[in-house]
Amino acid sequence: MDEHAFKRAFVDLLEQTTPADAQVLDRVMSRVAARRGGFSSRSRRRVLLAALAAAATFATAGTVFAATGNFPIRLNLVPFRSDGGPVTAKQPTGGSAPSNAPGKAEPASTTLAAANASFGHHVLTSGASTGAQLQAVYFSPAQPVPAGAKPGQQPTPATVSIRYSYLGTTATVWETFDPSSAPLSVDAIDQGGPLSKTSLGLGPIDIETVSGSSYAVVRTTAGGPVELMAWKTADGIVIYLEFSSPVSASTAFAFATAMG
Amino acid sequence: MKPLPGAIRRSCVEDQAEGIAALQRGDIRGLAALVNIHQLKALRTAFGILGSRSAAEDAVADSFIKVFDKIHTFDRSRPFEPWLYRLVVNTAIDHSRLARRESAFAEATDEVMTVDFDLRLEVAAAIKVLSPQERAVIVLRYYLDFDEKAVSEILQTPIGTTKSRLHRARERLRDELSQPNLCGSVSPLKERDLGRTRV
Repeated sequence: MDEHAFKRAFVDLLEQTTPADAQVLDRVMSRVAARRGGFSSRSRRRVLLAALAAAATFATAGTVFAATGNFPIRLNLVPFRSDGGPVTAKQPTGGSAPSNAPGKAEPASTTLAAANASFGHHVLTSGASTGAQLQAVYFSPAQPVPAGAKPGQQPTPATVSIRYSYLGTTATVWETFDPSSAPLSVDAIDQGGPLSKTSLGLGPIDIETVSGSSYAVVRTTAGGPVELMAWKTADGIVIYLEFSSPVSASTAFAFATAMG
Repeated sequence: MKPLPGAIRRSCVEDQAEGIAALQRGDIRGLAALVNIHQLKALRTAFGILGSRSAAEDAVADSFIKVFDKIHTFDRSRPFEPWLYRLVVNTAIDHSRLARRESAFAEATDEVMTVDFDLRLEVAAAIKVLSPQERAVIVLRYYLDFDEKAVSEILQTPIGTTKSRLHRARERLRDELSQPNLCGSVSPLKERDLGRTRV
């Protein structure tokens, strides 16, 4: 048999039986996400951000707030652990079992008014000027530290999450209340510069100031599009804002600064 | 203030070298980039060994999970493809123990009739008789175009073993392809045998 003819027929067989649009990306990434978080990627994202939110330093009940502007932000650098594989960076501390942990049902969607009432604080929403369209509102009540929790594990604060459709992407906001006067403390992995986890992976995190207010901003690359922002308002509301696909800094800050 | 198109957003890690570097520093976007770059070729490689699309998808997904687990062992001064396809081929061979041999390459007959349909059918029937290890050699040599030395490195077998396995696989393929096909006609591949290098 002609070797060239065989090769051509064999390659043709493989190409015809496995079309060009065949892909395993979703399967691979969801499995990796599940392994990293122990459950589905959607839940993992929410849990991760809830854990990040809980990383804010909840001190005792002092309630002295800055008069204007956001609270300062402190990056808490944690070492990168390379002994357990490529993605072993320490998760943000203080993240206690959130309400949507494995085995628990995700919170049912609610209305903004109901979330406001349950939350007990003013829920910040996107300004109408941004054009963001509200899609869903969720409320997760506070959760005590579960029995058998690790030492130092914090209770999960009540969380309002709101999903918006925004300029072709989905912007998801998580809001918790921090009664302390402490700065917002956000864990970052120390690996040649601070990196922080988002649902898309690790990205450089920096504290950026706009109109005198501080925001922790996670970008895809230094100076690149924005994936995640976090800040603590003068009223003690800790906000995490994530975009389903990264957006320009101006687009991200337009959304963040219009929240009220 | 339109958001950037997805392709531009992701361009920072779509390159293979950047994907590897990103994954080695723990950024799973690097894995996504590597999957995007290699998944189709990996799927076809696994199909060549397993003869089933769903089994190939399972094997390739497992292979990329192994990439995720082992990327820190990869030496970036060396080529990535042999390292990757070693994982893919070995995973596919492992999966072949679970696969139903009788249904292998059945999907080759499911496709729409084309000019080369008969050829494909015959090759599928011939490949089916080979062992997964022999199929792996054939895929590495004829689909991925690795030379014998590279094939032996990927399979981590002595070059002599690779050569004899390749020779044996060719012999078996030649025997299969010289059989009359189901319609009793002469194989188109035989008709095309013009005395060039024989498989």
